[in-house]
This record gives sequence, C-alpha cells and structure tokens, in this order.
Amino acid sequence: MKLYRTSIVLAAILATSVSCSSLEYGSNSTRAFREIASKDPVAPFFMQGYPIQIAPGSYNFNALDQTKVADYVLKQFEKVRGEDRAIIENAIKSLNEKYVAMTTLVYGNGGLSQKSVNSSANPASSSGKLTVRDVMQLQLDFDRNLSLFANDVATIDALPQMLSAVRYEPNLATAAVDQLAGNLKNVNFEQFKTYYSGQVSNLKSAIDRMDFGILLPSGAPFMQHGLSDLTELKKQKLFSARDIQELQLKVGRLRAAMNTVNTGIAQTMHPAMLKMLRNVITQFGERNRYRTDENDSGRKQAIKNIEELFYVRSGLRAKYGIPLGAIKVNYTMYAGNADKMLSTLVLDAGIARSIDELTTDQNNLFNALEGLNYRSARALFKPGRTFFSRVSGIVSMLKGQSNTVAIKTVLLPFLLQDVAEEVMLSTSAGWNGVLDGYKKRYNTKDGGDWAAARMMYFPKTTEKTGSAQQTRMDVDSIIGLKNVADLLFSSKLADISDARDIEKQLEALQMADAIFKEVGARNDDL
Amino acid sequence: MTCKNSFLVGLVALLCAAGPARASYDEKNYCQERSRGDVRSLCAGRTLPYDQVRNKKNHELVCTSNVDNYVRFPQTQVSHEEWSGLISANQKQAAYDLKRKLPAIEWSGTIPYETVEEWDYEECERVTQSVPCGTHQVCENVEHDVPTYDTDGKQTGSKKVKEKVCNDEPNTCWTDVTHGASQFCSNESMKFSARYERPSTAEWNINSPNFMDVIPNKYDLLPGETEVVQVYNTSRRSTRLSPSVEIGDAWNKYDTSRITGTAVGATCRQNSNYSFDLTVRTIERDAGKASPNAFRFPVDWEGNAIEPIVWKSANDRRSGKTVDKAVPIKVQLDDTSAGIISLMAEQSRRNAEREATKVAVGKGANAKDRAEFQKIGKKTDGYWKSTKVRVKLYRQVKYWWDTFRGAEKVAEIDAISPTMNFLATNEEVKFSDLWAIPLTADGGNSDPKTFRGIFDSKHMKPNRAYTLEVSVYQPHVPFYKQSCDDNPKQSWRCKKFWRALGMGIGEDRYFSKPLKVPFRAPKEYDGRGWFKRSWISNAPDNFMTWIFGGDVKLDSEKGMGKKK
Repeated sequence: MKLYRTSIVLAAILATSVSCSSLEYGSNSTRAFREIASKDPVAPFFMQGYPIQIAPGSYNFNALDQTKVADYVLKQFEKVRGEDRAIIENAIKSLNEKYVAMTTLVYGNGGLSQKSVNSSANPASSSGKLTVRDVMQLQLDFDRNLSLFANDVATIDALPQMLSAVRYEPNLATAAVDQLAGNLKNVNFEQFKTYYSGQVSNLKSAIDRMDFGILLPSGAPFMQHGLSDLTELKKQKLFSARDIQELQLKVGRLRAAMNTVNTGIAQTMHPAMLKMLRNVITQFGERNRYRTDENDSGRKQAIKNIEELFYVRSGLRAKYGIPLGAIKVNYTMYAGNADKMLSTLVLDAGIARSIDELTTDQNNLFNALEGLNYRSARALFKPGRTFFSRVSGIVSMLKGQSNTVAIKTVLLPFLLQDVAEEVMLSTSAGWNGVLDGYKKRYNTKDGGDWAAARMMYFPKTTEKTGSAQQTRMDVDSIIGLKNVADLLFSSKLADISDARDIEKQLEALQMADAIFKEVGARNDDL
Repeated sequence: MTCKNSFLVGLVALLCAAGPARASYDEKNYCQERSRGDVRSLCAGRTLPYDQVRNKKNHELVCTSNVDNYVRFPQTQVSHEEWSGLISANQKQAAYDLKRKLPAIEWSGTIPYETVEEWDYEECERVTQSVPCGTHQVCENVEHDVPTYDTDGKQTGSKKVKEKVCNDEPNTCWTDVTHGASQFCSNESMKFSARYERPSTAEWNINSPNFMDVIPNKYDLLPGETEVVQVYNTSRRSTRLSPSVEIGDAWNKYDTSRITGTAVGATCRQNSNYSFDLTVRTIERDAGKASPNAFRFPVDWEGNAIEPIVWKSANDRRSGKTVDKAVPIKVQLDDTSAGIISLMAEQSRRNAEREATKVAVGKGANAKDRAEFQKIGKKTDGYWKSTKVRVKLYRQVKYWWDTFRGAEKVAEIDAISPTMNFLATNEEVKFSDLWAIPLTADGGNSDPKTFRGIFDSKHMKPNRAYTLEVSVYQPHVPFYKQSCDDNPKQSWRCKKFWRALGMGIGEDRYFSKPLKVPFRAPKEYDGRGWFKRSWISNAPDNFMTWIFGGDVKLDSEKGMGKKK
C-alpha cells in the first residue's frame, strides 16, 4: 500500500498536464491539487506535504521550480528502488524456502527417496516394506505439498503491483506534459517461474522413477512404480477379510451410535419441554381454581412460548430428518366414551420413540382432547353441544377445573402435531413429508407470524446472524435448547460422514452421500 | 501351695501329711514325668521356655488366618455410546463382541500371616477331684424328728431319731494338669492371583437362555453395584492351609471352589513360599437383591462439583430478617445408572413387541422357554424406566442414633431436570440423569396441590446437623427385588391376607442403601411454630441432648476447624 502511494505521488509529480486527463478519477485529484496549491501559491505543493488523493492521471508541472523537482524525484527514486529490491528478494526467498522443504520431503532424511530405497532394495524380503495405507498417505502428502508449491510459483508475479516505477526513467528537461501509465504490473518474473516450474516437474518425474516396495495384507510383496498412478495397486487385494469385516463393523457402530443424540435430547429438550408444559398447566390451570382469567397477557405469552418451542422442534425435524421422540402420555379409556367425563391426561417422564409407542400416544392425546372439548366449561350455551356435554361442562366448572380444561385444550394440539411429525419421520412420508408440513404451516407467502422466529432459529446462510441470543447454549431458553439439538445432530452427521469415508475406503460407495449437501440446503429451504 | 518340682514332692508330702487332721486318707501322687527339659522348637532359631515343657505334647506349628480385600466396580472401559448404539440398532452380536473385549478381571496380592507354635505341657498340681484321686467316705450322725401316730392314724407328736448319713467325697491328690502354650514363630506371606472366569462363547452367548445384553461376560456389574472379594490365606487357624474366598454383597451367585496351587492343603511351616490361584465362576444373576444406589454427588459437564442442596430464602418470624439459605427446596444428584436402565427398558419393550408378534403368528415361546424367562424375572411385558426415589430426613445426634424426622417419595417425572451433562467427557456423567428432588411443594414440582415435601411439614431446629438419606428403587428391572405392587406373584408375602397383616415385602427390602447428604440447618432461621419452639415441646430433646451430647460436626466443618 505504501509503495503504491509513493509511486502515485512520484508519477503525479512527473505528470505535467491537467487538461488531458484520461483516467476516471483524474478530475478529483486535480481538485485536490488545486485546493492545496491555492493555500500558498508560492511554495510548491510537495513542500506542503503530499496530496493524499493524487492518483494516476495527467498533471502540469511546468509552473514549478525544475531543480527542486529533480532533487525530490531522485531521492524518491532511490527510496522506491530499495523497497522494490526488498520485495523481490522476499519473494524469491520464500519461494526458495518452500522449494527446499519440497526437496527435503523427497530427498531428505526419512523422505520419499529413502523410503523407496529401503523398501525396494530387496524385493523378496518383507523387511522395510511399506503398507498400502503408508503409500496412500505418502501420495496424499506429496500431492498436497506439490500443489501448494506450484500455486506459489504461479502467483509470484501477483505480489508486486507498482514495480513499473523502477524501470520508469523520466526526462524532465523535455517532458512538459507527462502521461502516467495505467498498467503498472510490468515486472518480469518469467525467469523465476520458468526455473521453479522446471524444478517442480523435475521432482515429479524423480518420484515417478522411484520404486516403492509394498507388503500387501495377504503377505505378498508388490512393487509400485512412482506415486502418480496407483491403479495397479488398487487392483490388488488391499484389505484382508478381517480388515473388511472390522471396517464394516465400524461403519455399523458409527451409524448406530445414535445414543448421544437420544441422551442429549433426553437430558436437555425433553425435561425442559415437560417442565414448561407442566408449569403452564399449573400456573394457568391448577392455580386458577374458581378464578377468572385475569392474567390474560401472561397466559398468551406462555402459550406463545410453547408454540415457539414446538415450532423449533418441527424445524429441527425438517432440517435434519432425525427423530426427537415425543412426550409419553397416560390416559385411561373406558367403554362407551365414559372417559370423556372421567379420565384425565397424565404427562409421563418417558420418551415415546417406536411406532407402537407413538401410535398409543397419538390415540391417548386425541381422546384426551375430545374429552376436554366435551367437558369444556366455556361456551356452555353454544348450539350443537349435547346435553351431557353441557352437564360435564357445569361439573368441571363446579369442581373448579374450568381453567385447567381450557389451558389443556390449548396445549394438546401442539403435542398431537408433535407426535404426528414423529410418526411421519419413520414412515414413507419421511423427511420430505415433515419439511412440506413445516412449510405449509410456518412458511406462508409473506412469512406471517413466523418470519421473525425463522430469522432467529433457522437463519438462511445469506442472512446476517450473530446476535448474543443466537450463540446461547443452555437448557434455560428455547434458542439454547435449539442450539444444543443442532450440536447433537451435526455431531451425528459427523459420524455418518466418518462412516461414509470408511465406506469410500472400502470402495463400496452405495450410500446416499448427498446427506451433507442436503442439510446445508435445508437451512435455505426452511 | 503347689508342688512344681517332683524332687520336692516327698518333702511336701510330709508337710501335707502333717497338715490338718481332717484328712483321713493318704494324699497320693499320680504325677508321672515322661519328659523334662525338652526345649526343642519347631521354629528354627528358637527355644521353648524351660518351665513350660514338662511332658510336652501336641506340639505343632499353626498358621493364622488373614484376608485380602478387593473391591470390584462395574467396568467402564468400553464406550457406552458405541455399545448402546449397537444395542439400539439391534446389532446384538456386535455389542456382545465389543463388551467381550473388556479387560479380564484379574488381580493378585500378598496376604501376610504368622506362624505360631502351639503345644501342651503338664504340671504336677494338687487337686481335689474324684478322677484320678478317688473318693473316701465321710459319715455324719444326723438327728431329725419323726412324727408319731395313734391307732386311729392321728398324729400325736414327734420323736427324735438319730441316723448315720454317709457321702463319697473326692480325695485330694497330686496329678499332672495339662496347660496350653503358644509362641510366635515367624511372619509369612502368601502370594495369590485371582480372576473372574469369563465364560466361553459357547457357554454364554446371545442365544443362551438367561442371556441379557447388559451382562455379556456374565459376571458384569451394573452401575452402582460393587462387590468386595475377600481372599483368605486359610479359612481357619490350623496346621494345614486352606485358602478360601468370600464375596461380600455379591450381585451374582458364584462358585468359589476353584482354588489351585501349592498353598491348598499345604502344611503350615516356617519360611514357606506358598501361593495359589483362584478362579471365581459365575453361576447366575442374583435377582433377589434390592436396587443398588447409583446416585452420586452432582458435577457439571466440566467436572466441577455442584452444590447438592438448593435453598430458598424466607423471613424469620422473630427477627424479621430475610435469610438467604433458610429452607432446602431441592437436593440435586446424578443418577449414574440412568443410561443402562433406560436402555434395558427400551430393550424390554422391543422384546415385548417381538413376543407379541410371535404369539400372533403362532410361534409363541414354548413352555420351557417361558419358564426360563420367568426364572430370571424377565417379563414378557415391556416396561418403562420409572425410577423411584425415597428421601428421609434425619437429625444427627452425637453418641446416639440419628432421629428420623420425615420421609417422602418422588418419581422421575417430578425430579429429572435438564442438564448439559451430555457434553461431559466422563462417560459416567455423560449418560447420567440429573435429579433435582423437590423437598417442598415449590421445589420444582408442578403438582403443588398433591405433593407434600419433607420441609412442607417439618421445620428444622436452627444450627443443627441434619442428613438427607436418598434411596433408589428401580421398578420392573428384572435384576432387582420388586415391590408387591410391581410384581405381585413373586412371593406369598404379596397375598392380600399377609399384606393386611403387615407381612408384605418391606420398603427397605427393595429400596437401595441410602446415599447420605449431610447439611446444617441455618443459624438465623427458625420456621417452627410457637408450640414447637416452646420449652415444653423441647424439654425431652433438651434432656436427651444434655445426656448424650447435642450437636455433631459435619465432615466439611471438621476440615475447616483444623485449618483455623
């Protein structure tokens, strides 16, 4: 940057015409120059300090004292020349260091060359032989280093921007008007590039001439020529049956290790959700016996919180397609719908996961909700209610349960929806079914009530995030619970990815490996 | 007067003869000296005391009995995550293989013991007894009244009659009396190596009748269970060594008879170099024991200890001040068995589904299989993990039993609390549930109408040491003793009749041993009512305190005292 600015100044001094400015920012610079000059017309502008904004363009220096200009120019010349030299030296030095490192990797102690000699000296003996894994690792290391080095060589001339000034020799005596050159990248690094590119290909061909003695898992020796082409090696039987079995088992284990997720959810979101639900029922139901509902705003907010929690659960299912488990409920059903008047729904500590448990859950919840509607103490005189329903309503009012019934009536549909989604994940509707349902409910055309919530919990990759709320990681807030679940699920995905890597290694690529991309895209989809 | 040395016997006999004139017989001397002054010891480099070797007999070297204790905990080297993942994915064989790779349970040790020389010797002593001295007759003239009668049979009076009564009295004589003596000989040590036998895969595999996934090595312990293996060099003090083993608080039935090595049946001797190998073979799981207490004092996921008792503030009625830590509202503990128990519950439900399907398609388990199932209490109904916890409050009393102050029972739903434990690296913490057991109605229990905690009804005496004792019961888990409500068919005690008589299965038989949480009641807060606070109701307590001492220092306070 400094170099750039100095050179601009220098070029500006040398330029002598204002009128024929051809560069787009010429006019601005001229204005700046005029402003400075107008402060003290006698002193040349460089005695007043550099005009900062002077950029390439044409400038008129005819009015100035030519001797002083020449003196200044020569001094600047020397300074710039020194800086340029330092830059070139640094570039070459760093390139050379990398080259030395590359050479060490190949010819140094314990390097490729030595490994090649040790392993291939005696083709029949098994001592010093490399394993297949070693060779693959060597190839990987070498390729990575080589491509990094080649990249450095290719981009060396991208470093110095302003070196044109070095070769710029102004003739002050003749030049009344001088044009500042637009293209400044003129330094010729071709010499270095050619040299180092040559060295790179030398190293490559040196490796290709090397032999590596490999001991296959079967015990047979194998001679690998060079590292660039491993096709012959891959045709060999690279894994023993035992290896393959162990790796397959490992894949199974990684995929089966769902327990962290289950434990994590069972320790965080599940108890927190239970507590929230039970607390809302207590506060706005049980503690509200024979009372009118005075704390209407608090009640609304509490319900809103619950709704948001279930929104997050729905979103997590849609994003990852991994089940969370539903709350287990107990409800006794009697013949002849007698439970509508007799039974109460009890939330349980267990987590329903299997299809059977979820089916039971759904049935319990549905019937409980029917019962609650049946004995609701609100709208007793609404047309369409049966006589017994009205009696039940009055009974619950007399028992002081009207508020409990009301708050439960509000909460149960969330639980029902939750169970329905959970069931969907293990049926043919699957992940996409949950996603569609999520979109239908929460992603209306204009975003509706849920635009803010989506922004908070599931921001798109392009949206700016990073509020303190969004980094919370605890069990006391919905966002904290969501982040915990996010962490759990992504760690599970990491396991799946590990399993996939192993399978790749086994060259059995039958797995749906688009899963990561899909999850990435889901955030944008939600 | 004793006659220790036989050359004095003659003289003493003369003296004795000249003694009391009562003796109407000769005091005989039965003493026989068979050996004298044999001070040879069985123990190299030692001699026996000269005055304890006359007629020495039963001379032998015996070994004392000593014990080595080894405490066995559940093995945790295998990743629970990986293993439970396999179980959940129904890869039973892989899970089995994984746990079979656990390191063998082997240990070795040295039991120090002593050899002791024991022998009997005889001394010539004057004794008065019939054997061997014989007897002599002592007669007396006794006068007593005899009633007289007339011809009609009526008593008319009595007359004195003289009669001679004779008794056999033991003689006094001199004879040999046996005494026992012993003398320390040497310090010995016995080396042993012990192991639990891992049953072969043929004997114990996933198809074995009593097999369960959580015990793939058959001897495995579950969280909270511990055993003390006591290895004895010899089961009793004897000249022959008989090494033996006893397993304290055993969770399985074991065969401990497999002991081999030079020490088995060996003669006790000095400078021995005996050793033995011990193999404990597992027969079957003992299903009759109460649940183990797997509760631990809680730590957060970084391993820092969490204060177990959570307090609430209250206004003291007398001083009017607000006290921050006035009443305990909950006690927090980690349940380290949660991971395993919930997995077992999940498995049981899956098994139940499978059984139901089998019956539905006509392939129900045959009678024999069913019997096997029931043998270890494996029910075909699936169950849910529904751990129950009992909390008891005791007041600690010095020099006396702690006094019981109140109890409550809490189910999972009211106590399990959200936690970040799953982030922990310590697997025991990672898969444990955090329980926040409410002690008052507002201690996090959401059913304040029905729940009554200990401190809702009990108020503590200020500045006194108390203890909360927390016990666990795991309903339906087939390994552990069940209550009558959860398994009515287990015993005759569960019949209504006997239960009505109070002979049902007592709580203490299925609730675990308690975990004690000691704490001190606040100094500044007294929640008791005026009567409980009054002199009258405190009199008995004050009296007992006066006798037995009052307050107890908690362990934490003892340490603090020392520092000062």
